[in-house]
Amino acid sequence: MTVKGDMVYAWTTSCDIHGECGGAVTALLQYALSSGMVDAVLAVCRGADLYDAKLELITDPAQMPKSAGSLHCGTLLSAKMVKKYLGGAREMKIAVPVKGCDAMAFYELAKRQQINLDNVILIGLNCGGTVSPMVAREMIADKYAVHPDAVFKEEIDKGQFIIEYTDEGGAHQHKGISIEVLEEGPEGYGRRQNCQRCKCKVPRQADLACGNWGVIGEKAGKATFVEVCSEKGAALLDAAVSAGAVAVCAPEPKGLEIRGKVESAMLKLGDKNRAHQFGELGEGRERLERIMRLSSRCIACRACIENCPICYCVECSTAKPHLVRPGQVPPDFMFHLIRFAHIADSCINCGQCQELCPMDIPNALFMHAQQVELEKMFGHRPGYDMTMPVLAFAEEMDERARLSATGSDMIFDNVFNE
Amino acid sequence: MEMEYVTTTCPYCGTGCGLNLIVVDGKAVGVAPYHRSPVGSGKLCTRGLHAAKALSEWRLEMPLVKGEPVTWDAAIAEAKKLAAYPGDEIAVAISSRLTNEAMFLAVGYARNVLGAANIGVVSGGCGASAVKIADLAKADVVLMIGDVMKSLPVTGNKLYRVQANGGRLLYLGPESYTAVQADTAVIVDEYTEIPAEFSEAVAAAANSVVLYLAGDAAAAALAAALPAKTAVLYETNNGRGAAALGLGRFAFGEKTKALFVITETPEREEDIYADLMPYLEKLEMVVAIGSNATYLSDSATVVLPSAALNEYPGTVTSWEGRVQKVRAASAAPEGVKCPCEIICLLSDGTYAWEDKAAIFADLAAAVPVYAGIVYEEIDRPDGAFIGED
Repeated sequence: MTVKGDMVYAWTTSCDIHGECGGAVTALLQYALSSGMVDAVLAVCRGADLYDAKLELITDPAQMPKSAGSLHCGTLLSAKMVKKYLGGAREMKIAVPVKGCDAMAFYELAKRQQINLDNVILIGLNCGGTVSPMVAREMIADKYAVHPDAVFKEEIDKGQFIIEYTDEGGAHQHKGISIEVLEEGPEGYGRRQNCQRCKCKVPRQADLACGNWGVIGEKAGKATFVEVCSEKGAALLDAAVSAGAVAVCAPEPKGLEIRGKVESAMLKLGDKNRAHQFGELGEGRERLERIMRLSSRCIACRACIENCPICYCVECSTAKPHLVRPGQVPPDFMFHLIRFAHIADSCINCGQCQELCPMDIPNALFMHAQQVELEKMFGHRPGYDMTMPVLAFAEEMDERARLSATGSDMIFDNVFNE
Repeated sequence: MEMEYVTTTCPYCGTGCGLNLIVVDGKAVGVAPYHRSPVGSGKLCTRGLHAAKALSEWRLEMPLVKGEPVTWDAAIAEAKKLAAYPGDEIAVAISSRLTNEAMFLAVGYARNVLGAANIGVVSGGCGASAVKIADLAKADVVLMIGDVMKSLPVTGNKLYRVQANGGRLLYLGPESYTAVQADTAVIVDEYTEIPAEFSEAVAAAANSVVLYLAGDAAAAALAAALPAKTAVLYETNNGRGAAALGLGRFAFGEKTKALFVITETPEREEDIYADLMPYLEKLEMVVAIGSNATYLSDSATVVLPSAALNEYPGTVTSWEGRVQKVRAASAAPEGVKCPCEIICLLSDGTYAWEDKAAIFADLAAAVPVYAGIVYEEIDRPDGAFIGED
């Protein structure tokens, strides 16, 4: 019997699955589907090429192998798609492979009654970060001097972004460059800015957390490290093992240690990047002015709202004419203030509002910078459990006392004080 | 429940952003970002975000003759009466939102079957760009004439990189969104000359670009005199394609007695065909093909309902000359036909319609800028580029 907290090496027993590191994730998803535990799997599949990650709703277990393999250019967020197009999983049971940001988004939408987590199995994938497809292509041409179409595999390992490609003579080659070096340059290469700040590398809020960190010895490259994070995850793993869909063994003790080291190195890098990026944003009035200046690029297209996993209101305050004058472009700064006020306590730093902003406003940076301050003030950590957000309920007297203790009655002063 | 992503090109402006239509049980219900789009990297503006519903409202679903529903046979027979007019009495207005293939067949039909000489695009533009969208960020001085960033937002997006790279954005035109974004703006309601400081800045720059809207003749005239590369921005998804087929701005002729018109007006866009209404009284016959109802279809002699842009496959050409696929995402309502099929019926089969690759091959053979491009190659995410005019 597997229980929460258990850790194993796991691999597929099927010869049809050619996944990364033993194909355990694909096999588990396939088992969840074929056993009837779920009605469908919302999987990430390769689209037009290596740089195109596409969501597919798979209902036929035989189709599962096509989702095998990781795509580091898969910067998409699946949770909002489940809310918008799969009825929030109210009427169907689904299994979804998730990065840290996806898992956090599922929790925040579940808190807001937009997704029924009881009907969802989350298979967490350790994630060192993702690279936007067009940035990856430009970076590969520029820094690796390789035609992006010649690349047949990419991975992030040991702090490097590594590509495998076919050279002009037809031979297979590989090349790696340190991610830190790529990200230091002025070109904006490397992982998305929000990934650089991310500190959810092993998504333990999922039912299982899977990855290749810590797989050493004879199983290196042939198995996935699986950490059991919930009873639901334990049940899936147990059933898949009993049915013979996956095989497991105990992890190497040294592997456990290595996995811990990889994770803590990643977290340290996240801290360093936060300090750097938030530092560049300035403090106090300077920060506010910078936010106002960059926000004046806004065309009020609402792509940030459409793609935000926290936004779910049917009647959005930014569309109320007494708050934001309609038809004005750029819109009143109130548009952004409303977003900050409504989202900042729960921002999970998924980066969608920035990556998908047609005017390149660093929305995620602004929002995340405020979230970390609000977390310091109110202790709320979004995306990790079902705790209600700061704005969900407030004991008025307690909140007044807390505000009074800051020495000012101006919340904005507290956030932006110099 | 079946859910599928269909990668296609935005039906609105001439930037050519790629997007994924989310198709649930055969119907386009939403839009998901297509991060792999070489043009927009998944970014979309207001219009692109609503692309799933762009073409589903006010659909025409059955052929009409003088406002009465009739069979396709009856409607086609009635529409064919157009050919009885001499060529110089027929005017043809083609939508610059159709696919290259549909437009090519329509032009062929207009020229060869109707013998019409007056063929154009309502609100059309002209001019070819000397730069690609990816080159914009490398410019050190960019002169924007008119509200270009708001009209083509994701093209405008690339201009922020100019500033980030240390370049300058200059603006000439009325108060606008673009004016707010520029480093230096000269505000004028009508532009008749380039301010001296702008001419000097452009001349002194190693890599300067001037951007203007394809329909803006005043801006084109000013840009022509500058020693800068031009980026001519088309406001419709296939305005560049229409220009490549030699279609200029539509105008009625002195002798016009009959009109053959193909419309395609997505939600959120102005009904540009309303401008034709005052002239209709002078006409004897109007044959209108379109996917949705417009003022024009309300008063046309014959209305032939067509499939909308996201219901049949084909290609469109963006302002930079990038040829990309549009893919069929939803099934067309029963009783409507692909515009290519309608042309085939009107021409008694002269123009075969089903094989879009074959139509494109004919187009590539007939129009020099498309020479050498193969339909299947356009399937790649990066599409294919047309050659120089």
